[in-house]
Amino acid sequence: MMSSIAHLALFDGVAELFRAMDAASPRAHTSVLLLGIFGPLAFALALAISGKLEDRAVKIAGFLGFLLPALSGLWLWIAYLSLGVEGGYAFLINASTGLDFLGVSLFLGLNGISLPLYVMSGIVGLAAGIYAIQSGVERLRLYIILHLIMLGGLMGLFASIDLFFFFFFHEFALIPTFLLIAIWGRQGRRAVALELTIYLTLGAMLTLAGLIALAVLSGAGSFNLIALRVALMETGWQNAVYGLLLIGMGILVSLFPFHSWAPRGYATAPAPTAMLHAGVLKKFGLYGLIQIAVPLLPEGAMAWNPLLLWLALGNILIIGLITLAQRDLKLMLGNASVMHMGYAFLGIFAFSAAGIGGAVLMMVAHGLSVALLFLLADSIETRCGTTDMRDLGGLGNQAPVLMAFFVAAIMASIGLPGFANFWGELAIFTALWASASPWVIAPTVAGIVISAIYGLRAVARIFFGESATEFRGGDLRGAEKAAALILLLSLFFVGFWPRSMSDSIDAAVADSFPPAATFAPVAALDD
Amino acid sequence: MQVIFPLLIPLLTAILGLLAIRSSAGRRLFFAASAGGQLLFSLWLLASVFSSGSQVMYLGGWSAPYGIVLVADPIAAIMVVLVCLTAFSCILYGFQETSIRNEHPLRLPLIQFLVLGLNLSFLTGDLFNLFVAFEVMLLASYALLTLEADDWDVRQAFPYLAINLFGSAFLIALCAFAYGLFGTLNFAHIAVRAQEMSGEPLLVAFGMLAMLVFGIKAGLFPLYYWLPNAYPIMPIALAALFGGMLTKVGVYVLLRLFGTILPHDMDLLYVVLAWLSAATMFFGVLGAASRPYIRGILSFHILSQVGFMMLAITFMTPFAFAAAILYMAHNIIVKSGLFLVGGAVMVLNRTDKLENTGNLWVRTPVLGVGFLLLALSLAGIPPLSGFWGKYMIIVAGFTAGEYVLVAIAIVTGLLTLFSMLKIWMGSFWQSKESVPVVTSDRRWIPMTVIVGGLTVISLIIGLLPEFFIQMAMTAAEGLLDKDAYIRLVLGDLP
Repeated sequence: MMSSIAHLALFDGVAELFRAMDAASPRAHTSVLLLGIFGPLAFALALAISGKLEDRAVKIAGFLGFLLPALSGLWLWIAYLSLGVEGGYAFLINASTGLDFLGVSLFLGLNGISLPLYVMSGIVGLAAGIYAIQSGVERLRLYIILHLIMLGGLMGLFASIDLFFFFFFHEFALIPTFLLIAIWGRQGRRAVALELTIYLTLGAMLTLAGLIALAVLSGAGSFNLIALRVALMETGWQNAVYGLLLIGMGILVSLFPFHSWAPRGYATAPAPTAMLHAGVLKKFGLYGLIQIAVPLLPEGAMAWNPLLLWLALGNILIIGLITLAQRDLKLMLGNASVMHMGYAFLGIFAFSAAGIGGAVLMMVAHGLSVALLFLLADSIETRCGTTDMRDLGGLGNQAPVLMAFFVAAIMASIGLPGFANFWGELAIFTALWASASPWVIAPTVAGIVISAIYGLRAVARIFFGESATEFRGGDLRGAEKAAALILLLSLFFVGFWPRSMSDSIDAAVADSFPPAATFAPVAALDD
Repeated sequence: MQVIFPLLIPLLTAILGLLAIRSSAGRRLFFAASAGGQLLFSLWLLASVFSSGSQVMYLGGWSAPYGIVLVADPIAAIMVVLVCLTAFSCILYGFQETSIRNEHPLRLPLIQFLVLGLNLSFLTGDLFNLFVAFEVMLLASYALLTLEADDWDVRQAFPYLAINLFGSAFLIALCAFAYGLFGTLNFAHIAVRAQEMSGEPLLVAFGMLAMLVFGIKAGLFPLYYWLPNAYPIMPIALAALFGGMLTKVGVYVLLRLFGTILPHDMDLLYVVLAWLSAATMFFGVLGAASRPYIRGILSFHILSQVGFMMLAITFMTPFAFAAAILYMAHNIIVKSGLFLVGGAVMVLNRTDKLENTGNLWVRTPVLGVGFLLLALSLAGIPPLSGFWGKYMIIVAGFTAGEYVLVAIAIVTGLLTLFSMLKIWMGSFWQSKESVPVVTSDRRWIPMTVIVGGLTVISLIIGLLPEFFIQMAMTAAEGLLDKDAYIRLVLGDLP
C-alpha cells in the first residue's frame, strides 16, 4: 500500500526534504520526538525554578512549552508519511534507565496507531494551553506548570513502546489533573477531586497489575511491547489478564458502569484540564486496549467481547438517555463524552481491522471535538456566569462567532460528514455490519439520534430565544478564537483527508492484529 | 572495627548524658552532634560495606561460634543508616516540639539506649545477643512511652508493655529451643545445623515459634492490637521514631531468619506468613481508614505496610527480598516524615483530631506540599519512593503466582490512598473559621524544614530508583546467600 501522501504532488518536495533529513541523520526525527515529550516538561521546570517573573514572561514561556508538542506532532506526522513506514514503528530510541534488570527501559517510538494520537495530543495541548494562558486565573504560573506537566506526560504516553513507561507517563499526567481540579475547579471541586483520585487510582492500579501480569505470565520478562508481541500466553491466562486490563482501562475510559466519575469530573475541572483529560488522557485506556491488550491477548479479547458489547451499549444508550436529561451544559458534555466512548468500544468489539482502525480514528476525532466543546462551554460560562441551559438563551445575537464554533463542534460530535468524527463512526458501523452481531447497528444508530437531539437542543437553548442572564465580555476574543480554530481546522482536515491518518492506522492495525480476523481496510471507505 | 561505632557512640552518649542530667541548650547540642555524627559514621560504614565487602568483628577476640560476633553485611548497614537518620531527625524535631524546660532529662539518654538496642539487633550475629538487643530497646521504649505520660496514657501503654513482655518471654524460650535443637545460638552456626535438619518437624516448630515472637514485634495480625493505641500517646518526635523503626526490627529479623538462617524449603511457614501478612495489611488499612485523628491513622498504617514487607519476604526470591528491603527503607523515612507532619499540625491547629483541624493548605502551603508528597508516596503513586517497592512486590507476587495476595495488596494500596486523603481533606483543605491556625507559634517552621529534609530523601529514592534498587538487590542477594554468610562469620569451620 502506498502512502497516501505520494498521491499529492504538492507534498513531493516536502517528503523529499524529510527523507533527505532522515538519510543525513537518522536521529533527526527522533530528537523532534524527544522535544515533543520533554520540551513541555523542561519549560515547566524552568518556570518552577525561576524566581520572580513578569506575567508576560510566564505566558510566553508557557506558550512555547505548549507549542513544542504540537509542532513535534505535525513534524513527525509529515516525516512518518514521507518515510513510507507503512504502519510500523519509526523514530525509535531506547535509553537505558538503569532498570534493565526489571525489564524496563525508556523505549520510545511511534507506529501507525500511536502517531495519530500523538499528533492529536499535541494539537489539543496547544489549544488547551492557549486557552489556559488567556484565562487570567489566580496563580497562573502554577496553573501553566501543571498543564505543561500533564501535556508532557500525555505525549510520552503515546510515544512509549515500553509498557512500564506507558503507565508511568499516564500517572505523570494524571496527578496534575487531580491538583488542577482541586485548586481551580468549580463548586464542589474538593469532593470531585477526591472521587476522581480514588476512582482513577483504582483503574490505574488494575491496569498496572494487568501490565505486570502481561510481562510476567507471557514469559517475556520484559515490558517492551515489540518483544511482547512474539510471546504467547495460554488461553486461561489471556482471559484473566485481558479482564484485568479491560476493567482497569475501562475505568479510565469511563466504560459503563465505571463511568460515574467522569461527567462530574469534567464539569468541575477547569476548562483546559477538561480538554486535556476528556480529549486526550482518557484515551489512554482505549489506546492501551487497542495497542496492547487486543493484539497480545486476542483469545482473551474474544472471550470478553460479549460482555464488552453490553457495556458499550450501556455507554451509548443508558448514558445517552442520561445525557438527554442534563440541564447543565458542562454536565451534558461530560456525559456525552462518556457516551461516545461506547462507539470506540464497539469498534474493539467488532474485532476487525476496520472496527479497530475506526476506533482509533474516532479517538482522534473525539479528542479534538470534545476539547473544542469544553473550551466553548467555558467561554459561555465566563460570559454568562452559568452553564445551566435553562438560564441561557439568545447568545446567537451577542456572540455569533461563538455560536458558529459551537454549532460546528456539535455537528462534529454528532458525526456529520466533513468532520473527522464521521470517518471513525462510519468505519465502526461498517465493521459492526460485518461482525457476528449486525443487529448492534440498530441501537448504535439510535445513539446517533440521541446525540443529535441533545446537541441541537443545546444549540437552540443557548443561542436562540431569550436570555435570562446578563451577558458580559462580548464575542470570542482573539486567543479564544485561535484555540478554537486550531481544533476546528484539525477536525476539518482529517474530515476531508482521512487517508492522511487512516492509511497508517490501517497498516498498523493489520500488522498487529490477529490474522484470523476479518479484514476490511479503513482506507477503502474514502476511496 | 567500624562495626563497633554504631554501638559505642550511642552508649557513650547516653552515659555522658546521664552524668549531666539537667536539660540545657548545651546538652541538647551535644546530643544533636552525637546523633549527626552517628549518621555520618553509619554512612561511612555503609559505603565501606558496599565497596569493600561485609565486616565481621569478634568481640574480645573470641572466634565464632563461641564468642559474641557483630556482622555488618549490606542489609545490616542499610538498617543502621536508617536508624541513625530517623533518630537524628526525631531528636532535632523533639527540640522544637518540647521546650528545654519541659523536656524530661531522661528523654535524650533513653533515645540513645533505644538506638543502641536497634543497632545491636541489626548488627548482632547471634540469637542471644538479639535477645539482649531487644531488651535494651524495649526497656528504653517502656520508659520513653511513659516518661511524659499522664494516667490515661499509662493505661494505654499497658497493653504495649504486656505484649512485649510476653514476646520477650517467648524470645528467651526461642533461644533455649534453638540451643536445644542446634547446640548453638550463632546465626551462621544455626544455618549450618539447620541445613542438615532440613525437613524435620522440629525445625518447622522452631520456625513457627520464631514467627510468633518476631511477628509480635513487627505487629503481625492478629497480634497487633497493642500498637495503634500505644504510639499515639507519645510526643510526636518519639512516635515518629517508634513508628518508623521499631516494627521494622521484627521485619528485619524475619528477613534474616528466612533468608540466611533457616533452610529455603519451609513452605508451610511461607504460606502461613503470607496470609497473615495479607490480613495484616488489609485490616491495618481498614483500621487506619476508620480512625478520626492523624496519629491514629498513621499508627494503623504502620501495620498495613509491615504486611506488605512480610508478604514480599514469603515469595523467597532475591527480587522479592529486594522489594521488601526497598519498601522498608522508603517506609521508614516516609512514615517518620508523616508523623512529623502530624506534629506540625498539632502545633498549628492545637490538635490532630481531623474534625478540629483545617485551613492549613492556605496558611502553610509548604507543609501541605510536603505532606502530599509523603502521603502519595505512602500510597505508592509513581514516581514517588513508595511506588517502586510496591511495584516490585506486585511483580514478585505475579512471578510467584500469588494472584489473590496481589489483589489484596492492590486494594490495600487504594485504601491507603483513601486514608491519606482523609488527613489531607481534614487538615489541609477543610476551611473552618472556628479552627485556629497558630502560625505565630514559630515552632512549625523548623518542624516543616525537618519534614522537608525527609521529603527530599524520599523524592531522591523515587527519582533515582536504579541506584536504590541495586542497593536493595545487593542486600537481598547477601541475605539469601547462606554459604557466603557462613563463610564470612565462621571462616572454614565445617
